[in-house]
Amino acid sequence: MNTHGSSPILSMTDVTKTYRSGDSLLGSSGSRVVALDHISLDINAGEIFGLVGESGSGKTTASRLIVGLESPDDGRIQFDGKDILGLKGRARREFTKQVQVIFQDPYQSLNAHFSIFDTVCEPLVIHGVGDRASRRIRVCEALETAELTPPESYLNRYPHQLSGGQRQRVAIARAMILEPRFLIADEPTSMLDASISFQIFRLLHRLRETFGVTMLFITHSLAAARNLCDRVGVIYRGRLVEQGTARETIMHPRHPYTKALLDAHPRFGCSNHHGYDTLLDVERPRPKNDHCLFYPRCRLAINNTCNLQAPKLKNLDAAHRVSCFLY
Amino acid sequence: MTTALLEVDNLSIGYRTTTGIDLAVDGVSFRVDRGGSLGLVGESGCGKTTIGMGLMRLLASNARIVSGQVRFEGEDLTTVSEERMREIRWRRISMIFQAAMNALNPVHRVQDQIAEAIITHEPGLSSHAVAHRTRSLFELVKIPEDRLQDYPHQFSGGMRQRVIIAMALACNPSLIIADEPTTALDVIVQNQILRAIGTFQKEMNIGMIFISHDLAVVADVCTHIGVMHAGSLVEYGLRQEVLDCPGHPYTQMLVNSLLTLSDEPADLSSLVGPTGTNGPAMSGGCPVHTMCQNATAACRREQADWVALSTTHRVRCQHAGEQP
Repeated sequence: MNTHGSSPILSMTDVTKTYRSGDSLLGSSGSRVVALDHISLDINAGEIFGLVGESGSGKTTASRLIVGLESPDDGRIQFDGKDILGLKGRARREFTKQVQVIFQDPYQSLNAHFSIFDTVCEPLVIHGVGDRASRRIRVCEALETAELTPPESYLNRYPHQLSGGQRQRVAIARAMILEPRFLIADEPTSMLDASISFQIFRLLHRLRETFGVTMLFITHSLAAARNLCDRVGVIYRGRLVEQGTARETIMHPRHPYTKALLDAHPRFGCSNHHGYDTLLDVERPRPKNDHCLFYPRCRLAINNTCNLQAPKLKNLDAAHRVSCFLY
Repeated sequence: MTTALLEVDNLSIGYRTTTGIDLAVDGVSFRVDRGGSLGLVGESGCGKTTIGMGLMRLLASNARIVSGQVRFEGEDLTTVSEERMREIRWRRISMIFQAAMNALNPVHRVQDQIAEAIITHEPGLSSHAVAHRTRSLFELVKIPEDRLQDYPHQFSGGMRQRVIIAMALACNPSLIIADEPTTALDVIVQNQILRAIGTFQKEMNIGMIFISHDLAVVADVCTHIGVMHAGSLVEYGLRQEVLDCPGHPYTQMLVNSLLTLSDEPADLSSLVGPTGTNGPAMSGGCPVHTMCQNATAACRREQADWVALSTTHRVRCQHAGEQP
């Protein structure tokens, strides 16, 4: 299980990102949307870390910041001990080789005009790796890594000739071809059917076992996180509300929001259901001042506490942290 | 045994293509009882939505019902006139379309949009009665009454989906077809919508066909499960029978790939999943023979007949019931 190294390969410290929205034609002054609110987390070398939350909770923003597609308003992101914002020239190129992303929608993330060979080969071209012959060999190896066999039969095909699961494998081959050390998988199976999702999970698991690649796995499914991840962080409206080992967080959740997510999980007609029942039927109005972001929906909220200030992330033990006034 | 609300018998629906008719639905039979619910599961493109559209007779212009019968409350929907069908549609059978929450008209108040559905199908109703029914529908789907006057953009995705459900219930139908009603929603909202659907369906004793690619969702809502693959129904039975002893290799694969929140995580490396990919769907043989480990020459040649595993559970696989 957790015999992988424990030094952080990636650490985020107090990272905040806000977007301006609604500078509309009608002249209303734009409002600010806080996508990430002082997020701090460490991801250790060799582990699979799951970031779990609803859509709009800031999961994808986190991944965009990590690969440097956008920069944070505040806070620090370090890869291998170096601040990624300060990376220039060769160091920057080395960083972009080591961190790769698998995007959510394989129907949109592959260029329809590129053959599978061109798609998987592109990172090698961009980074000027190898010559024509050696690139072909590496593309075939990457396709084999992604369990697309025989690889030669895929080289000259185009995305529209592949199923969703095969496309996502192509995206995985493209991400793996530079032998990255850190892989971000952003809801890689949300567009796929259950049985195909399962195969993709199995493949990601194998990649970690075989290549020791560290992964940030972004998902809205606690079941996927439970089965694939070593540790998870639960994010709600841009704030980290709970973090711990996948087992502890899901079997013994503390934060009312984590409990609500577990309650909402399909139960297959089984009776081993927790029934934490932490969600209010009718939401309370959102307080104007600082407050716990989950207060409007929380059945367990403490009056005159949760609506007056925001809780800080507290350590329950060495591994488990929660941000809630109940603890 | 209760009388069936809907009996679908050997229904085939085909799309006209340049090379002839391609069957998207191939000889599908099932029944739905009053107050019962059938979950149709299968991957995208397996014909689930085509069945729903076929029952409503809302197929695309290049599609038609090739053969089969759809008996609904004593009438065969494949042969009734278009005029009669228009009376049945929405009043007797309504549908929650896929991603319908994006189909609300942005410039009309939600109240008026529900009222419109009622007035269109029941023109004789007084405005007082329409308003009363709109309010009680909102109560049923748990939207506070003071939101009646709002516009769709003031609602969250989950609330818009509730409005769509209210609209589908507006004329007290006896059958409702829900096509992926929660697919674009978050887990918590999805759970709330599923509970809402379950409640009204039981309270109003409505029959339901619930179409989804997600077996986990179907398992939560439905009394019966029908598993589809490449246009054919391959397994049909009571929910618990299908989940506990899936007879068809495709169903077994679906059940095995359900990820649960169990104490110990599934061993992802050891579980046997499908190895191959989908073969040509309509090659004549069993639709899953290319990815089935037990496939024999007969499986490649022709599709198996139904094998009854119990009085309520049947499987279309010649190896069903054999020990693995």
